[in-house]
Amino acid sequence: MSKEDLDRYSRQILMNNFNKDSQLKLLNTSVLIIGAGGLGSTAILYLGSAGFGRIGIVDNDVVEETNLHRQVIHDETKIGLSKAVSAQQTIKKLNSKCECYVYKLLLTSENALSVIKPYDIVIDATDNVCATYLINDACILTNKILIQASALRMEGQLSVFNYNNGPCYRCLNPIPPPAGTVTKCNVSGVLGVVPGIMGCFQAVEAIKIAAGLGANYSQKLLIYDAELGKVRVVKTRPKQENCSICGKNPSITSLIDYEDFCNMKKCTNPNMSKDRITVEEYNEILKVNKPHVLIDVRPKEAFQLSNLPNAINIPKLELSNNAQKIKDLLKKKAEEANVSEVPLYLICRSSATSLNSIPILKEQGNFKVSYIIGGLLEWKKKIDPSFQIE
Amino acid sequence: MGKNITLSFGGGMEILFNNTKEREIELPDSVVNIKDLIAYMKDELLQERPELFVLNDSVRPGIIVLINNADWEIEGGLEYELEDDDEITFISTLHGG
Ligand SMILES: [Zn+2]
Repeated sequence: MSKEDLDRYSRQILMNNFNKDSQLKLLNTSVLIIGAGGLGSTAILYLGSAGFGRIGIVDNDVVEETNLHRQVIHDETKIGLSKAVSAQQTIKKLNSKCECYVYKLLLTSENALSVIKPYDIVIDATDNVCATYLINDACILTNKILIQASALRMEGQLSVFNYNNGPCYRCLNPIPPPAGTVTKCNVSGVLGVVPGIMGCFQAVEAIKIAAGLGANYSQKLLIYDAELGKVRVVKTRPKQENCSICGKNPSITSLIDYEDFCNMKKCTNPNMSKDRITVEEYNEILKVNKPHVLIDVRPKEAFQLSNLPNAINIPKLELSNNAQKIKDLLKKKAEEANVSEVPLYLICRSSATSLNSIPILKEQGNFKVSYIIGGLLEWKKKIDPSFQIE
Repeated sequence: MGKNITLSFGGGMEILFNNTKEREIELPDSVVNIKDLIAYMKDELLQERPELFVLNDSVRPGIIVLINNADWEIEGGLEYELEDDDEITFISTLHGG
């Protein structure tokens, strides 16, 4: 190890159970963090600074203002930028020696194995159940250790899978929850620091595993409740012989369709869902005067600066309170056009907000709702260059 | 006399049970094992939407059940016989980050 590294990591090496060899092991270990959101932010910060030789960051989203209260690796100057790239920029400033690769993509059954393969340890810092099953299965098929965590409201959960013959996520959760029972941060809310704490726990596990100190939470589940101030560490079942992926006779031998498996045809890949239309398609709808309702979900201030003439402004945070109003609007339009129902379209600056608005509306009723891909930026680019938006 | 146990909830399960994360209850004599307990909770304690709690005489997928802070699978699952002062926990798996 170089003198420079010895100095840089000296306070860590000072510990009596973590020596130069442990530090060297970190330098020779690679970690893939899937999701640069609330969990990923702190996990990536600590892994980047701990002295890992190589880290990879997977994220397909862009930074939004509503992320900043918990996704502390990003900042106000990064709004609109790819989360993976933003996280990489932070790590480059923090530790220029850490090789940091980004994957600006959505992990799918097609790409997961090739993305995961070059790494030793995988951190699941995603926010949905389909991704968790996909990552679990991909880690079993490529024999990687998986550190999985999640957080919602004031609670977090964490476990280590496929470690030293321990169980996998499927051993504990062979059947996914029914689609209607799962809620996400953009519906239920989350106290910013809670995913941060869980991401820190993920970093500790990765460091201990890489340094050869052993995982704390293999065949154990950590449950943190910030409301009660309670941390439970519970023993879970061991690896299950009848597990469909890591058992004796696995029925799953290659990655499957996880949206289908989780009964959520839209949860892992928004680009594949039918809940979206292009700006060209929307322009066509306007041209032929097809009856519909268009809601601009940006904040009032942004809407007042520039908007599409037929758009109604209901900011994302006010959607659930206005569900009845929207239902009435749709009903009125349908009556005027003498049809049974009319579609609802959502637009915002880049489509991140409108995409996240869809589950909020779906919580409130059976809306036939789509978002416009690329939002007003795309509208300006493809349809109306004179449209005022930055 | 019935047994006294503690029920605890998390991950949103508490919303179905009076928004309380911990409560002590005295069970009727008819409640012997976890299977009985789930049926009793569904009939007597659940506030709304049973489909968010039960499926086919057990809890729905996505609920972690703990018997005295251990995975119920290693304690006998539905057949586990309740004892005085047991803590039975129902926590929904979280999916957020
Ligand atoms: Zn398994």
